[in-house]
Amino acid sequence: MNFALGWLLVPWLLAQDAAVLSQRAAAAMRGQRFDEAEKLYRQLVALEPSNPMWRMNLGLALHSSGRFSQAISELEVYLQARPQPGPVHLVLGAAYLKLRQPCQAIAPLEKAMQWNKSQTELELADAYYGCKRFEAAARAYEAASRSSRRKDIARQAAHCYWQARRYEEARRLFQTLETEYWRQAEFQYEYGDVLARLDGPEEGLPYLRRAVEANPKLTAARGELGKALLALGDAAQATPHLEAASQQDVSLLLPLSRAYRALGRLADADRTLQQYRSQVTTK
Amino acid sequence: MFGLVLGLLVAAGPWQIYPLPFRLTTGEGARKHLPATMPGGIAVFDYDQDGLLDLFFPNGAALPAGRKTSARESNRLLRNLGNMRFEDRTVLSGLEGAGYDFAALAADYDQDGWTDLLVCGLREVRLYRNLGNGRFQDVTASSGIQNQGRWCIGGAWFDYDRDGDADLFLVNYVRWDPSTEPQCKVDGVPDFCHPRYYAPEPNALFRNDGGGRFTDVSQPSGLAKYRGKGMAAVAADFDQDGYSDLFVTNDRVLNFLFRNLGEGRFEERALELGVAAPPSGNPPSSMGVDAQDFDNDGKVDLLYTALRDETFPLSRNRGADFEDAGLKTKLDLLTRSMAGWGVAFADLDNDGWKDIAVARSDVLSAKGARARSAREPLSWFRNRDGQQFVMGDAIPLAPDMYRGLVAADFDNDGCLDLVVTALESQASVIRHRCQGNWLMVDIRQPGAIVKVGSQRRSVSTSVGYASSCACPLHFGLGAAQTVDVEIQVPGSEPKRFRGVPANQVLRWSP
Repeated sequence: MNFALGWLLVPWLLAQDAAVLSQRAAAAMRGQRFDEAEKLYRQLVALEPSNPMWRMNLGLALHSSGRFSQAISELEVYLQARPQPGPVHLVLGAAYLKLRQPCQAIAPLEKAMQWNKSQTELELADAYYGCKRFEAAARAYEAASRSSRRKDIARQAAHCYWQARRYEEARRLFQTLETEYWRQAEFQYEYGDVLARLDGPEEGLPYLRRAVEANPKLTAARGELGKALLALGDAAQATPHLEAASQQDVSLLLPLSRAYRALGRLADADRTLQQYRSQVTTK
Repeated sequence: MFGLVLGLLVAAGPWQIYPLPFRLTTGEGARKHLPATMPGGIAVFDYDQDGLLDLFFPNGAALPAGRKTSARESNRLLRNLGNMRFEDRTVLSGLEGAGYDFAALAADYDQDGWTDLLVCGLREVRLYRNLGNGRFQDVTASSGIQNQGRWCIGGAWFDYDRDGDADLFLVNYVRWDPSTEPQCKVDGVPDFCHPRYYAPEPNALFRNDGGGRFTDVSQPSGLAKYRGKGMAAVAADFDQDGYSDLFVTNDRVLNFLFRNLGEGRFEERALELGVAAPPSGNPPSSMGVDAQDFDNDGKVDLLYTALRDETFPLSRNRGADFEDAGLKTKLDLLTRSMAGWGVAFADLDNDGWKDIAVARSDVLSAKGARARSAREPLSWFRNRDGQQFVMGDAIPLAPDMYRGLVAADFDNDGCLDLVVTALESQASVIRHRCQGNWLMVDIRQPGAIVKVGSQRRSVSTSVGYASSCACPLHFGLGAAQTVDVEIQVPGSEPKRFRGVPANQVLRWSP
């Protein structure tokens, strides 16, 4: 009888202990005493190792104290036991983002989207972007910009469409952002590049010119401006831009060679062409 | 009632689809082996000399073994019965094949009047001699054609030494070894790898010595020292010196233009002549290629397909070199969002200007992360007086993973039809009805040049991607009832015919 009572009593005592520890841990979390919370949750995990809730809480405490790597281990243990989409997926994804592992963040964030779209979509967009999945990022940013009505997110969506070479979609967004971003060199460059590709160099030219005026060190814009000018027959104006940009992008040595040839600088043209051949072949 | 009839007529439109008894097998599985995204060539030729163009389709196989294991992987010969009906004659012909095959090059290499076939494969090439009785004999071993286990993806029959017979140029793609092939992902999902993960290969040239024998002249010709990632080739006399040159598209590395110097030697001049890469300087994923005179100025121009954002570069031959014509003709803008494989210059509306037909689709897997956008429709671009291209009317065939495309007249009505393949799909002939007069010139002499009015075409069988057409040369004549014709065979005086009546096939042998 005493033996049986002992068996009943031990869980009861443990439960009492767990309740007390849990209350103390929760109070520590509320007070942002995350180290203390972590210790308490570790005691709870030791006390009830089969209860995944303590692993989750431990993970949240670790996440809050900035120890994301350890947090991820605990949160993943919890999610193995409770895989239903929920806020823990969002925290796990956010932890991966903090660790600059965006590709790993995608799966939990996609799961979190099934739980709460509005709270998750921006994080998911960031994860796609960091993982260079630009088209998915563009769609996620665009959705987030619609729900938040934030122009900066729409700008990021346009940038991602441009990166993903979805020029029609990029143009649609750039058109709506022109008044807000017309001073920004990168905006002028990306919009000008899109217009040059879709509608021809003459359409992109004014934007590319403004981009270079706003930031002469934006060499990618100088490269596109040089190509547009050359396509429109202005080798003289194209040449300095192509010269500057070809320092960073060897493919531009080919249009630069053409520009030299058009200007009658045949020795420069031949030298640049050979430079292009050797550098592009080894690229 | 008349309204109903009229409605039906309009619904039928100028294009009618005829599915063919052939389905292209790729061998694509969970592991994305590169060959699985590359098959789909077509050969169009009248193998039985009944006056109707027949079809041959090389087919894929199981991967990574690259050997055919079932009848569904068999190559396929389809005999044209007329009225767009085709019957499977593969088994009778002996053309089933054994390996993973990509391209088919038709030409009468032994000049016996029966068109033969060279089949390009993953590890071997096979030369089949047409015996004239419906059967083909594998004569590879006795021919001396040996591709050293390289992955042949296309090529061209052409007479590089002007001795009157067809020599063979083989395009080799990349070195592929399944045991070392990396596993690539696109958007986190397994997909085909970028060509940068594979080593380049040299192409090969075989001289036709007559008597069914060939000699490998890749080294002495100077071609062997150039390693590319070849996708397709066309032969044409670009510099009009009387010798056929070669243009080879390379996948993400600079294209080759091998100028024929005569005396059996070639020099690579693509960069100097302006066709190694588009004006941007970025070597694109150059795919299928065709070379024709699109602006009727008497010089052979170049067009090749590429992937999205690379446009389909069009280069106008200026005589001394080429200039980019994509911007002026608007083709750049039309094709910016497209990915293409098979391509052909073809005067689809018989107006005297060669239009462009393209088999479109992405290189990435139709089962991968980009599946939604991988399939694309067929397209054609109408040539407006050699100055500009505009989108042609829609071809009523669903978007698919199109690869091979050939334009040829399968029903002898003077309008060019199309035949296309698509990965893991049934091949189709697309019958085209058009107006305008026409002339066909049936001449089998490789390198011969035919001028019809202001138009010029040379006899060459390779076209587009992995495909060939040993077909009469087609000329649209618009409203003209008669036309002057000039035929120039290499090494002999041109023959001139004045006031040739339209709407006939002019057969000519030297």
